Amino acid sequence: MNLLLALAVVLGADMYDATFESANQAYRSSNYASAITQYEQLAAAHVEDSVLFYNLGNACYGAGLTGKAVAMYERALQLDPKMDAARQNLETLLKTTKRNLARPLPGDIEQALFFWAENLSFRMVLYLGIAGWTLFWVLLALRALRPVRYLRVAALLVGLAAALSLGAAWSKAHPLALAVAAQTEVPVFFGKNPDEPPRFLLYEGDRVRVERVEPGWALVSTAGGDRGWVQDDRMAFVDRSPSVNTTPAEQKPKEPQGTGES
Amino acid sequence: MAALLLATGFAVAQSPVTASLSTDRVAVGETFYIEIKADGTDVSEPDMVTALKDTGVLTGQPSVATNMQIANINGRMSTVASKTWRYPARATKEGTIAIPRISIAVDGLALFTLPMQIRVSQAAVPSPQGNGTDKGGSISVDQLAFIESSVDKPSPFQGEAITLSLRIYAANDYAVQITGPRTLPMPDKQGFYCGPQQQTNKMETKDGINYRVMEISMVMYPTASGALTIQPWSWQGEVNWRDSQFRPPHVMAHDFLAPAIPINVQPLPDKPADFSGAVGKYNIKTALSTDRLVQGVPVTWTLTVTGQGNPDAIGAPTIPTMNWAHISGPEIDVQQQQPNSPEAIKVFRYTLTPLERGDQVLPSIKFVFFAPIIKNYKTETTQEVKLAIAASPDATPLVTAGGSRADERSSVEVLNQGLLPILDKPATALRPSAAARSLATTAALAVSLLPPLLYTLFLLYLRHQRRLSGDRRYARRHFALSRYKENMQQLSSDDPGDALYHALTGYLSDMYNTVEAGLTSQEAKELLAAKQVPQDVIDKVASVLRACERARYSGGRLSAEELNALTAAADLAVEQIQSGQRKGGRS
Repeated sequence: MNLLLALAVVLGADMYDATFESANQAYRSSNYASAITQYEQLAAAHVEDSVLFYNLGNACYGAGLTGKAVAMYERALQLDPKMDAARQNLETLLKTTKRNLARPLPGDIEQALFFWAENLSFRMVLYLGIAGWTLFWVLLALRALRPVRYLRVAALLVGLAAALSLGAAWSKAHPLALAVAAQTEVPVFFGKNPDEPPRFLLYEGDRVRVERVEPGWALVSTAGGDRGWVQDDRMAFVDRSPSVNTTPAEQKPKEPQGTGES
Repeated sequence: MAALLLATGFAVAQSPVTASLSTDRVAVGETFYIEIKADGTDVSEPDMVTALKDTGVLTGQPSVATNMQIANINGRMSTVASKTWRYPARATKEGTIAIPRISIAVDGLALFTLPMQIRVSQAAVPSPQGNGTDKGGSISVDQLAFIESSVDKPSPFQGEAITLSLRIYAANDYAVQITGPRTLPMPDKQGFYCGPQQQTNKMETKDGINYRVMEISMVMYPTASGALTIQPWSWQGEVNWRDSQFRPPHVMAHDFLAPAIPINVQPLPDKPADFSGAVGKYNIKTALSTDRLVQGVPVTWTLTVTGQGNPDAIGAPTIPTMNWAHISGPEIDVQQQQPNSPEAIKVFRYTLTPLERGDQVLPSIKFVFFAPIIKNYKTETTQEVKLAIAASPDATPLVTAGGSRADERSSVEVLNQGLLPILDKPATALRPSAAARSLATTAALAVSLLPPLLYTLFLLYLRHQRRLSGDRRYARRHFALSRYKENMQQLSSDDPGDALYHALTGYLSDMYNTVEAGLTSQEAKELLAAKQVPQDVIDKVASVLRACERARYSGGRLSAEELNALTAAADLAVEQIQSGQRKGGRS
């Protein structure tokens, strides 16, 4: 699949756009399963676009996959924190979940340091950091050329701002690993033994932090601090590209339908 | 003897534990109170069961009061604590009952109360108040106040509603008052799903006695088939009644008990495929929020199930496939026909969005439930509804990505409830991001490393400039070398030997601040020796200069090999002098 898509890029074909368009048409025809398959083909090819995951979230919701839809909206917001449509749909969807469990948050220090960058994209924060970093060295050079009052303090402040921006960029590049309960009830166990009584239950749409992943299992914790192991096939992982179990022939993105000109 | 009595009396007066009775004469079954008080900081509860064993007196749970006093006596603080238990009690036999000493542990010591006595007469037998209703006999307390429980159907079907009635009778003619627990216990109803509950008060005559009856009715649904039991309803209370308005009321503890009720629950016969789960008596009706349907405009389609039965067991009816419409939902709402009534209304609200214009049919809906009255399943069906759906006024063709036009669509996009629609255009170019990400990371790293690199170069340049202006020896070395290199570029001139000679002597004069004109090989040798240049370097410089002088004075030209050898020797000598100067430090 990846090879085919990569080849398509080399040859200049517009297969990604065609697949996207085809998926949109399937969605509009209420053929949600087909739409999901095609959106997931793009996601599996490491196409990272906020609109792609937003549309995938809508298709999942249409197919009754509430948990997966929540995960896809979260992914869209990771890619574009300013995407109001994804935020609105996520909030609407969470209201329909059983208990609208609070979203796990990063650590207190991380929140205190990077709160200002919450609604900025990774690129914006990175550009800010690089600009600040460059300005910091320019100020140091100016000071070396001719000592000016307060130039050292200014350089220090700019350097701190640059460090904060670059730290925020790093934080955005390594977001909190989230997973969403994808079944009506997902038991969370003390250990990796499904035969033992569950420690507590997650309900579809509940978001949890993924602390560790092992084959078949994930150690998760809720915003309230409850921790335990869940079977990973019962969860939708926010930052995990879907694996499409289709044959290569089926994986090939479809040609655009209709008489559209591109 | 007198001293002994005095000592005993003193001991009694000072005893930290005391006991008293609320009365010294009671009837059998009449409630009286035993009050025990103990002073001390660590007091344990008296063991009344052991103390009153075989005495014919029964006690209930006491009320407990604690009192603490802090006193300052002659400057010393002391704390006095006391605890009082008040036990409700009743005698079970006639005669004079001796209540023995009761042991209490106070501050680690076992102390005793004084023994007491109470006279118990025959059980109180009320006579009717003077209202002319004397029945010519006496009645017992069990007739004055009692409870009953019953169900309306002893053999219901699984899921069928039955009503459990709990009744409390209080004889009206004796002004009977019943005091029960603060929260009246209910019988254990394991195996039943409990519905609404209501309470009514009424008057009833039984065996010629008028009773005030409080009835608690509870709708229950057996959740399993087989033999179930509603457990006995029992609790303890006090019965208070008056023989006459001019005499004090009688109070008697009484155990109220209604026996268990066996229920034989019949299983449901084989269920049809579309059984909704409802058991009872139901009907169904359907309605649209408007009769003017427009393509693409959602309307509310309501299915209302009304009837008697457990509303939670009513599943949504099966909706037939309708290709001309998109249906989402349902939203479910349960309403009670009347408060505490078994009549329930369950409403299923669907959002129906017509996708196609023209004449369509809203199909009939079947609702299958079990009707206990006919002991079989019953199907209620709604009527088909013919609909005329108008075309959407804004059914514009959709625009595809890149601005192209798609085919005319006969249907419109259906939005999920409350969700914003999908977006046609991606936020970025749809390409695999792995390569772009690694490129971006490399670029970001490079861009981040560039400023400190440039800064370092800038610092080195500044340092060089400052040394040129502030370090005379460094400046002389720098300029001497620069000029030497410039002069060496002239070796291709007509007289390369002379050019080499001038380059070398020029270098020495710049380096050691002497006059270049007329500087011979001998003078150069002496100059270098004076500057403590190593001998091998001096010899090398002198040999180059002498070779150049010989060529000049002989009028011949240096051969190419000779010139190359001399140039190499000069370069080496200059490099060694530069090196020696650098090691010599700043002047």
